[in-house]
Amino acid sequence: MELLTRIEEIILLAVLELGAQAYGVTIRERVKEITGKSISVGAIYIPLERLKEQRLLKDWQGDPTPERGGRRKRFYRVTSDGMRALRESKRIHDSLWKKVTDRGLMAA
Amino acid sequence: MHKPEPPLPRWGEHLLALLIDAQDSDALLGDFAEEYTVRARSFGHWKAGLWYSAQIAGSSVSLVWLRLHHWFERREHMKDNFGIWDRRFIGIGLLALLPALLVVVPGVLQSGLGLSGLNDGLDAAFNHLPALRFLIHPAVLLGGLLVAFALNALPALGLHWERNPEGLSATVTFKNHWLHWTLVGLSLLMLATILAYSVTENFIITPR
Repeated sequence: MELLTRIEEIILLAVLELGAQAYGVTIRERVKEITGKSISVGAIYIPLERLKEQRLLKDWQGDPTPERGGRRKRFYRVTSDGMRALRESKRIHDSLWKKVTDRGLMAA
Repeated sequence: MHKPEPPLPRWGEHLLALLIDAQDSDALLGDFAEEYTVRARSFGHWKAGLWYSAQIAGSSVSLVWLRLHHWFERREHMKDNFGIWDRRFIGIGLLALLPALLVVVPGVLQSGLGLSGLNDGLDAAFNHLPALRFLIHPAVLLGGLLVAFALNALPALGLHWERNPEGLSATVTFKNHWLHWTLVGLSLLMLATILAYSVTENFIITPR
């Protein structure tokens, strides 16, 4: 299994957290809340597309709404492969951080 | 009473429609519209319009990338494994390489093997038809090499751009398209040969 990149991990976690309301606008807002940095409306779709190709995310069309000029939302959800990738990523993070904290390298 | 939706800037919608692939249009155009609507209601049309313009500018590279990505995906799914656009790219690449081949091959034969026949034949042809000399103009040579390289490198390389909070990063995968790679190699070889000849003729002093 390929390792997730930083932004891929953040997006998967955002999608997981947002649940049934995970689509372009909400994912972008959540990524901004998490990282403090803004990604443009179009740019968020590049990692989303890549995650879809890797079958870590699945998408479906929602209903059109007047705020969107009558256009449909594209919702996302994390697949079982996506969950496996997130667990692996967390395992790696936890293992690395444990080594650093055990050696007292992260002094206050 | 239901508030009417603030109208979107038409120029923006038209520009986005050009940049966005059809399969993404609902999702992307809808996102732009939704965020514009929210901002227009909160901050007014002027500020929403500024935001909208900045977002279009900031998203344009990503949108073009997505469009190209979907286009290549559709090309990959065409009936022939080697689809019509692959053949066209190969054909255009070969044509674009022709001026460089006209310069490099006779030059190499003459200087490397002492065979001047082809070079003399081309000189005679250019004397007879001087209008053809544009083929060996440096701009035409280098332009042709660039076209051949770009048209064949793009289908053969899988470029993945990632926009993350730290900036832009890319990963590259290499696809098994040997004909494209042959043309990429040829164009680079031609370029190297032309550069080597230019350096040799202009900078290396031959002893008297």
